[in-house]
This record gives sequence, structure tokens and C-alpha cells, in this order.
Amino acid sequence: MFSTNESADLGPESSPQDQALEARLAALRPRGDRLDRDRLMYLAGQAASRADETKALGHSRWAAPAFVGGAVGSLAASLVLALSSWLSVPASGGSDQSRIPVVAGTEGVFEGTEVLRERQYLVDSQEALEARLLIAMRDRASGEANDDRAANADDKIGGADVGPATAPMTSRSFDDALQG
Amino acid sequence: MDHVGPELLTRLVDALGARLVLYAQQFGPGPEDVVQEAFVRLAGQRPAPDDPAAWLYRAVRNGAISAARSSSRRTKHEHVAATQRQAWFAASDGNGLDAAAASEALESLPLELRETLVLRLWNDLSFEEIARLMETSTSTAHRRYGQGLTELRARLGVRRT
Repeated sequence: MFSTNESADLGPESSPQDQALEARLAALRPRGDRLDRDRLMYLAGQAASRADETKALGHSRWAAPAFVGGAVGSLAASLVLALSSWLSVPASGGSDQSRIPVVAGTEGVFEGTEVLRERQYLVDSQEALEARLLIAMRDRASGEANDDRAANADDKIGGADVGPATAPMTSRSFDDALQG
Repeated sequence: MDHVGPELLTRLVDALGARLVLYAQQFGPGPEDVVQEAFVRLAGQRPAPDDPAAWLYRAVRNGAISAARSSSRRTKHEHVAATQRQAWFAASDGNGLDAAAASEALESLPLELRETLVLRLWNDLSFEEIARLMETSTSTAHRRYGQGLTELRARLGVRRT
């Protein structure tokens, strides 16, 4: 196809006059000096080099995306693991999460934070338990004292002094209760 | 064929360069740029087309039509086309036809007739190849060629003997 100077296809029958005109027209030569041949070949060489480079890069076109994707994936996985482990401490530490204090000097320090927070939580829980116990004992002591006073008054009213039902709470009994 | 090497490209430029410029000129100004771009693109084809000559004609036609559409928006289009009329053919070699007159007569024809004549007379394409390139039938290419030749004869003032 497109083999120039082929004369097999002469087309429809043409008269001798038409053939003469065709010959005279075809004798005119298109100007051959209109293309800058050197520049054309230079640009063609550049295009060929670019095409070769593109073709060479095409073999390893997935290498860079695979490397970047793997790095991003690893980083994301590391972040997820770190966040999940950091968030799992207060979630499993009990319902009273607001009472878990942040250990001073460990803010922003990832390594060891979990152990420190667990330890602090245990200390804090023990203190809370002791405080609750103390309050309960105080309430109980004050209640019993009121009862004693009321009972004494009743006793005095009734004429018989039977004394308090239980011994009043002292500081020593507080310590004993805490130790127990 | 993996690519068009420098040797083949040189042969194609020598054999088809001037013809392709004349063909591209039928569509508008700047045919040299269109043809140069086609050759450069051919050099960068990977793999190379099976028929580089056919590929070139197709690329030149598409590029010339695209360039003509762009240049039609410019106000100097007609002026440029007129000033380039003299440059279509080399000086006649005494066959009785004046190159400038032939260029002027050819340019006055409708594009489809002119294109058929240029492809047939100065690019030696067969009518089947012309029909394929112009996306028409072979009989239409025949008809356009005959009509174009008749009108060209009239414009050139060549009498039937």
C-alpha cells in the first residue's frame, strides 16, 4: 500500500488529451527546498530518544509506585497499632476512666507509657478505695455517735443508763480498719 | 518493525517530503510545520507502523486539517495563502505549463477536487489509496479526479486537440 510511482491503477479510461494534460501537470515538480532537512532529522532523533527512554521506563513503571505504596502502608499500619495500643489502656482499666491521671513527665513519650499508666491506675485505685473507706467509716462513726446520744437521752428519759451499743470509733480503730 | 531508523527516515524524507508539503498546502498555510511534525512523530512511534508511508499521509492530512481550523481564526489567513501561491512548484522545465499559473488554477478548485488531483498527480497514489485516505469510495475518487482535471483544463486554457 502507498507505494509511490505505481502505475497499475490508472483509473477510468481517459482520453489522449487528458493523458497529455496529466503528463504536463505531473511534470511540474513540487518544490523540494521547503523542508529544513537537518532540523527535521535533529528533531526526529530527539523524538526517537524520548520514545526509547519512555519504553525503557515502561518496564519498571510499577517499581516506584509499589515502593511508595508499601512504605505508606507500613507507616499506616504502625500508626494504627500504636493508636490502638494507646487507646486500649483506658478502655480496659475500668469504668472510672476520668480519674486516671497522666503521669507527669510522660506526655508525648510513647515507649513505656502503657506500663506507667497501668501502674498509676493501680495506685490511684488504691487511694480511691482508702478514701472511700475512710469516708464510710467517718459516716458510720458519726451516725453511731448520734445514735448513742439519742439512746443516752432515751435512757435518761427512761431512767436506765445501759450505755452505747458499740464502742465509739477512735483514731486507732481507723488505722486498724485501714490495715485490715 | 520496532522503530523507523535514521536510514529509513532519511529515505522517506527524500522521497515524500516535497510531495507531502504540497499535499498539506492544499488545506492551509504552514504545510512545512505539519509535515515536519508528522516525520518527527513517526520517528517516535513504538512500535513503528506497518506502512510508514500510509501512516505519514494520514498524519499529514489530520495535522493539516487541524492546522487549517486553527488558522481560519486568524485574520491574515488569506494574505498568507496568497503570498505562498508562487511556491507550490519548482520552476517549469519548458513543458508549456507555467508553475505559477498551475498553482493558481489548482488553488481555485474546491478542496476535495484539488486534494484528489494532488494525491494522484504529484503523489502517485492509486485511486484505492486515495479513497482510503479521504474516507470515501473508489468510484467517488475517480469521479472527483475526472471532474478536477476537466475544471483545471478550463482554468488553464488548455484546449482539447
